[in-house]
Amino acid sequence: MGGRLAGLVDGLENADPANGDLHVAQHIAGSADEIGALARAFNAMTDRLHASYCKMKSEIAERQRAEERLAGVIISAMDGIITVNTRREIVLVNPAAERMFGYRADDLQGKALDILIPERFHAVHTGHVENFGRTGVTNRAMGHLGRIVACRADGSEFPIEASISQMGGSEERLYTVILRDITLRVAVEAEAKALTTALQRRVEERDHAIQELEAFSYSVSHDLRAPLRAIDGFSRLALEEHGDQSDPELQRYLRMCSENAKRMGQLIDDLLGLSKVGRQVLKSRVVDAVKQVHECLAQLESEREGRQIEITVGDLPSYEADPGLVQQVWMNLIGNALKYTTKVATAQIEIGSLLAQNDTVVYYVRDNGAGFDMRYADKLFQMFQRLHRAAEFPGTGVGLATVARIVRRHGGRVWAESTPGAGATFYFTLREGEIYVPLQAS
Amino acid sequence: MSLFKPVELLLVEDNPFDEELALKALRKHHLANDIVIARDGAEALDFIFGTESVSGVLEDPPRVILLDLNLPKIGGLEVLRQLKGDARTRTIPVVVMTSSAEESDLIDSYQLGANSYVVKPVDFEEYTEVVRVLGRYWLLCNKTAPSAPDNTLQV
Repeated sequence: MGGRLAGLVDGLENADPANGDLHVAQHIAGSADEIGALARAFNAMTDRLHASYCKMKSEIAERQRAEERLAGVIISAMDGIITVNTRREIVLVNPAAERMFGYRADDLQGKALDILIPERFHAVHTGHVENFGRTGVTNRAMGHLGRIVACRADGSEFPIEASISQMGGSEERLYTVILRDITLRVAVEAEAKALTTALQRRVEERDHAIQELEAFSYSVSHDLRAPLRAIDGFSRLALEEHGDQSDPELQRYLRMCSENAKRMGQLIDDLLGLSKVGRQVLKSRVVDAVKQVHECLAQLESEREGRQIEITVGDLPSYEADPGLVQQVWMNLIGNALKYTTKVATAQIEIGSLLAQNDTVVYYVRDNGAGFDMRYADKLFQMFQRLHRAAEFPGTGVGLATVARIVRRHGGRVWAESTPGAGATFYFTLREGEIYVPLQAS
Repeated sequence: MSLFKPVELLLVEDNPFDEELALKALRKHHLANDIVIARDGAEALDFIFGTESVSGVLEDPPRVILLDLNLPKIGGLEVLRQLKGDARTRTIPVVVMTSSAEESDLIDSYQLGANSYVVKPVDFEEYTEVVRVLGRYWLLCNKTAPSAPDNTLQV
């Protein structure tokens, strides 16, 4: 008996609890006496203990993994995460929050949260957290603190957006605050707002400028023409009533007065027409191009009288445009073709269209007239710019500027090519899009 | 201004040069017998509707009024509004004769009841021609509405 009891004690001493092996040797547990019963009961208990131990071990491991995962999330989070207790003492600070505020986590550990908030907001912020503590009942409750001002270690302030949640029921309650530095967003918003304001101001300025321009054109229309009429009128009257008594040179001067007055009258009319093109609202509809061109030709009948002119009108697809304005484009281009061919024996004018690569229709008016030097092509469509002397071909230099403005208003383009003495071709489109530029006409 | 001699034409014009040119053009075509000139809108209205000293609307209205728009004191459009807004003067033909070719002026004038709208040409020959045509038409061809019994102001 004594030897078996000693064997039991010896077995217990030699058991390896770390491996869960608490079993008493089988030769002792196998006996039928009381010691054997004790050993078996003991072995059964160690089995249960071992099972419970294993379960706990795996639970601890699982919990550690969960904590590691959570720690990983907290550490790698882009947003700052700070946990505080009910006394608003900092319990946890993640690396993002360290970077955001310029502190090391150790320096913040146990400090009051107020260290991260400018003093003037302390009271307000404490109120926020307390309110949340009172209302946020569940662990998941998430409160939005919205935008608040935070304070870095160096004392500089920056805007953050924060949300808050609380955890812990039986143990100490903790608040977790998630913080996002929104300096950049605030700056971008401020910039966007500034840009919007600037844009609004420019729109207002533009509207104002347009109003002034309208008042200006109105005044030009009324006030500039009257003196011209007087200049023309009185120089004519002088010629009519006293022409027979005055010397030829004086008569020539008076005629020049009257001619120049008329020329200025024409300039004013053209200018007003141009300014109207800019102001007018586009009233677009589908227009039959062939019909419109023939109407223009009919209107230009008087310019064609007594001249030898061959006009061909090719295939002209319809367009969607402001009919009145595009009429002016054709009138100007065809009128120019007629004007600049006055010095050729037989004027040849071709009105047609081409299809550009992207299905954009390019309309053109080609003539065999005086043409122009391509070196000055960029001046063609500028106001008051002329490539011919008025004595050669009369004009005010407003027509093509008007054409360009009308075409531009429709989203199109106008350009020209020419060989001096061999004629010119004027092209235009009436809608947006890349266009292929035809090669120089041969 | 005379209240007793019938007036054929009331010219409302503030620009003395335009006035002189208009008169020259009218005389050239022997159309300028009885012309009254008002040099601003107020003068025109006084002539038609009378003043405090000379009360009562004109008994024999002019056969035509040539009305400029850009006038001192009371503008041409306001003169037109008052003339056409009053039953006693509504039938007097008013020809707006102005330097303005602005669409808004055209629309406003016709809305207010103008009988015609003519843009003064800069070219004196054309101007003379316009005045001649206007004078011939309104003074010789056109028949005006007979004076209504209530055409005079009841004082």
